[in-house]
Amino acid sequence: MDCLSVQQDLDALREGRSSDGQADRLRAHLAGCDACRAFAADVALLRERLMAEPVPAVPASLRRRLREPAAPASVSLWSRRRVLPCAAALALALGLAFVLSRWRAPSDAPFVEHTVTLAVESAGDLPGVTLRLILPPGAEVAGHPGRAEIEWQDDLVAGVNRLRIPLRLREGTDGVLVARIERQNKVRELNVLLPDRRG
Amino acid sequence: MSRLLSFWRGRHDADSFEACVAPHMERLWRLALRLQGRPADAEDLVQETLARAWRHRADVLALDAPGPWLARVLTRMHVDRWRRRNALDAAESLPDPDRAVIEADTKETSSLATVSAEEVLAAVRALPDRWRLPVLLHDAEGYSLEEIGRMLGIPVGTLKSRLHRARSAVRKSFGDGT
Repeated sequence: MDCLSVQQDLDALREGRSSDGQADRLRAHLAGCDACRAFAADVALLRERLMAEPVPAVPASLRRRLREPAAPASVSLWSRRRVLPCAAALALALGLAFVLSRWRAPSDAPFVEHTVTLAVESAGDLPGVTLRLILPPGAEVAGHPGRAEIEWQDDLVAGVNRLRIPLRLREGTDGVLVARIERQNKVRELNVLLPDRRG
Repeated sequence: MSRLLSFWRGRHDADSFEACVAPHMERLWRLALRLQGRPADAEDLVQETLARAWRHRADVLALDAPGPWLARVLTRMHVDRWRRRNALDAAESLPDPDRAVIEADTKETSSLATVSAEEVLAAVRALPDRWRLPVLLHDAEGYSLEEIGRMLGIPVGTLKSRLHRARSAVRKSFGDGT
């Protein structure tokens, strides 16, 4: 048995996946080969160090997102991307980019899926912000059928925070999606016309 | 009434989803952090994974062990990001390290016994992604080569070879390996 095969089969030996004959051959080789023994010892050390690596606790925002259906389900993703911090102090500057195609027609029409993206720029880290979405008739957040309002708490980080909202809209839906961001008695409100008729 | 039923159905889905995924959160977070490096990027990656898992919740809830499924989604999203950043293209334009002749590591003394844990971890972080991924998934997270092969879409034989090269490279970073 050559050294390369032994070094590549160490895991099978450790995990007990080697056949009896193969395990015997591996052990015999290891007993007589300094290089393979040193390699095996270092692999064990490497695994030990990696497994003992301290990892910070799961962020509260991730746990909240898991608890709140709004999190993974629908009001899914804040994407943290730092941009130049804006000069204004506490205020939130709201920007909006949304991509919606046209739709039209009757009230009982099937749902059409669209994603609205809100970009919220914050001058600094803002923990404990309340976000509320108020939906017009005929619109719902994917995963939350029939709910006209959804509210949850989240943290904003300095820079641009992007929130992707997967919506289900009945064809013909015409109304305004209100996104309200509240913190310490300060409220910012953003109205998004549905559907987008600019395209 | 149908609205009420829909609401409760949605609530039940959410509760079941949380009960199913919560036990895997720490492992997902640790893996994301190791893959991404920056906590903000790791958080994004986990959130994307959760969002996808929620979209496929019927499949996830039907699994006896959803951990490998979640890890696979997270890992593939990481790989996709890596590809989007053109890192793969850049890497492919270089000589493919997997095609070099693989040789046994011949150093006869331990390279890692006398170095600190932090130095070892730094050496792993410095590995190219194609070698670092198998080490992280196998040696740090404990997935089997077969599971990693399914996650990354790579044959087990190739993974064994990458794992050997990665371990060898870590050793060589603390000595000449001869």
